[in-house]
Amino acid sequence: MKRSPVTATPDGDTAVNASAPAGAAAAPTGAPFLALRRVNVFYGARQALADVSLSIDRVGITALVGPSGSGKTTLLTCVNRLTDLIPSCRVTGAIRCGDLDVLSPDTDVLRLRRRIGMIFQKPNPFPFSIRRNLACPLREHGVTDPRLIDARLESALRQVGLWDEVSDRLDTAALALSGGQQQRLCIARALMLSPDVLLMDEPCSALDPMSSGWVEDLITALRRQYTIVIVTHNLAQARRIADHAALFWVRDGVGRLIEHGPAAQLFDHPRHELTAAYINGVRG
Amino acid sequence: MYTTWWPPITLSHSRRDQLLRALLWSCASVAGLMLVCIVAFLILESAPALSHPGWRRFFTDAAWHPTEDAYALWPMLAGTLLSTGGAVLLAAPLGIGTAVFCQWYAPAWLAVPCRRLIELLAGIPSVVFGFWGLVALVPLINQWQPPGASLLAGICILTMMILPTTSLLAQASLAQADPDALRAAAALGFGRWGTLRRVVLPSCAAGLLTAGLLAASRALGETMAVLMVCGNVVQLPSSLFDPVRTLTANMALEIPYAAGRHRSVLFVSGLLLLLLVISLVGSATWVRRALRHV
Amino acid sequence: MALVLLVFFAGLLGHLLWHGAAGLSWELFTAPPRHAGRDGGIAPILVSTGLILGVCMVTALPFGLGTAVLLAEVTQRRSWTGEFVRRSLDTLAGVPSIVFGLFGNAFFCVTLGLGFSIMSGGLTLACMVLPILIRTAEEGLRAVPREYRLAAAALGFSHASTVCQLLLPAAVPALLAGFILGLGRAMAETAALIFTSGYVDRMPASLWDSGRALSIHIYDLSMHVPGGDGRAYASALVLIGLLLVINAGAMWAGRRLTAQWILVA
Repeated sequence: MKRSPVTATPDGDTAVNASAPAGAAAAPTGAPFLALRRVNVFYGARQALADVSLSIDRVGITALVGPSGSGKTTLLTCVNRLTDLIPSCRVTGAIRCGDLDVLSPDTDVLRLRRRIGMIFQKPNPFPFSIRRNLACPLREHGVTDPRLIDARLESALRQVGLWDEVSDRLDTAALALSGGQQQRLCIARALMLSPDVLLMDEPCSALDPMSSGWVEDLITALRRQYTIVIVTHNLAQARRIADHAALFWVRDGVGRLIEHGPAAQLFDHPRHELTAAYINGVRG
Repeated sequence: MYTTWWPPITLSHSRRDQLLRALLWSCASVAGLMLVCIVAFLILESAPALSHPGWRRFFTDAAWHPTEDAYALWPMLAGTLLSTGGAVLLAAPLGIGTAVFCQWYAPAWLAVPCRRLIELLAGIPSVVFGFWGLVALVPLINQWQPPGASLLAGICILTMMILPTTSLLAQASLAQADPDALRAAAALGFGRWGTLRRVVLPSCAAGLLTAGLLAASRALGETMAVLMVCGNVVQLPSSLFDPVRTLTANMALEIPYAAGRHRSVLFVSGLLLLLLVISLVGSATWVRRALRHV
Repeated sequence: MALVLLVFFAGLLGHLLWHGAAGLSWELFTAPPRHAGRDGGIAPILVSTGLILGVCMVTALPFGLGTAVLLAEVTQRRSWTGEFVRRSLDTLAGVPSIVFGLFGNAFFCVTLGLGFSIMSGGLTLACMVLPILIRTAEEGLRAVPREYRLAAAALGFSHASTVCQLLLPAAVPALLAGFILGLGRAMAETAALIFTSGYVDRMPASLWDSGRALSIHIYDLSMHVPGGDGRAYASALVLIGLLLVINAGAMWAGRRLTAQWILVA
């Protein structure tokens, strides 16, 4: 099971050749797909995030907003357990993703991360060719059939709208692409594994306005197929694209979740005074 | 509910990761235990000599006739210390001088090739230095003060060998001078020499001292060059022009045929050399730490 | 003052070149030595040198890479095991080569029963270059941007594939530089080989045969063979030339690799 090819998973929700939303059936309808309960994160003795409980639906975009240092990125890295890479980091609480118990020591992290894609603030393609960038995740998870890889590669590039731009130079260096192209390539690389969830950590903030617009359109286009959780500092962007929103705030050096709900409600009729102040640009 | 406290790397169930970690640890234990192994072997091999004739005899015996139970190591130890000391005394000012020149006075078109040449010299094999000493330097000294193969020749060759290392280390330490302090010195109206003397050299003292200590440790362990130019007579030299034999040369000359207690005594001298070098390297590290912010 | 020194060193190289150039001929590289090396060539000696270096690098590379990966990727910077290994390697780097020779003689030649052989010499040199390989490889790995590791982890790469497919290829220029540095040091070494690989100047029949390295040949000709100076000059030039070629090749390859292969392959 651990080293099985992606196509052969019994639950079928990560089948590579299914380009349609496949995982919708993985969670019972009505129940949240991604559920965090009383999550606390500590770096050594310092607490970074306190008592976050959050439910995220199967489809749609959830935007996490708030000032710097309020633990939004930390929360993202808990969900795919990138926190493992930080030596002194400790996480308490419970996180469910579909049928997976994220924080359980028995969970296979590699399998978990295959189902949860992550896009970083700075585009980080590997120092390889475009083709190898996209092919290596599939090979890593046991897909070796070159025709399958090529088919998957084309569909992922088409999904991010990069196919027409790079199809004639797939074997050139990925690092030679422009910043916006690199970021879309990174999204395509995450899509190669047909994840259920896409975690995005300020995916537009390192890009110029034009590329930023393209990437934003792309994210909107992906909303029906994936559970998208996006951290953003750009309130206008959050308002444009998000179905749900959550506001984080830092108090006594510890990040906390202040308010969450449908985006329209959070932005237009905030229940909490901090939210209102932040949204109107008074604080933060 | 879980409380996690993950190990520093991904807690992966993958077989390959477990294999990788096992493999890496076995590699690292070989590399990490190498030094322990070397010290252990030297001690093991020198144990017979340390029990008989015992370490005291190395300093009190009158002569070195290992086949006739006379084990005087002290003339060799003196040879090693004298040649190393002389070389460091010469190489330290020269090395620091070239470093200062390359770093401070030389125009860019000269400084870069200078540096390249010094790096090149640092890579010349010691046997080549020795050979050159034998065919060029020794005859030269011989014309002046026979026999030529002497303590002086050893000091000269050693100086040339450790000079590049000293100079490179000194340059590295000069390059780390605090630019703010340099600006402050310029603002106080210090000239180039004043800045150098009152600001840069004092603040780089630790680095320069370290360079000297490391150069000394290199000279101490050098074998081939001194073996080829020093004459290899076991005696306490009465002047710079007398031939001497160093500990390293002694080992290189006699190990191939030594047996029994003789061989064991040679391992004692290896152990002694190793301890000297380790203490020098150790004190270099200590100096760097202790004087970092003086 | 610096210029005087440079002239001095230029004199050294010029002297070797002046006396050695005459001895460089096709025969030098193809013929076996005659009359204890006074005449003839150095072909068997070049072969022995190559074999010793081969044994040395083939042994040292896996251990060096493994240890470097462990230090850079697995242990934490301040963990006591990592610190112990690092400290002991730093000390090892300062150990005089003759002491490595003693150890090699006692361990490889006597305890393991390999005798005076190319194998013993190569393994002794492997111990000697290990610290250089590890230090450069560790620094090379640490210089690989953290983003690559995060990206690989987020894609569910196992640690083994992250290391093999991403970090090691990305660190190739540094690894190559370390390899060349180690190779150069091993090639220049004499003292550690005198009583491990031996003096025999025949063409070696196998790795368990004794073989004479180039540097030992120079030593032997100049010290023990009256009239051997001519060939010694030529051999010294060959040795320096080889070292220069290796270094230049490394510089060229390093630049080329960083520019093209690494980014595309």
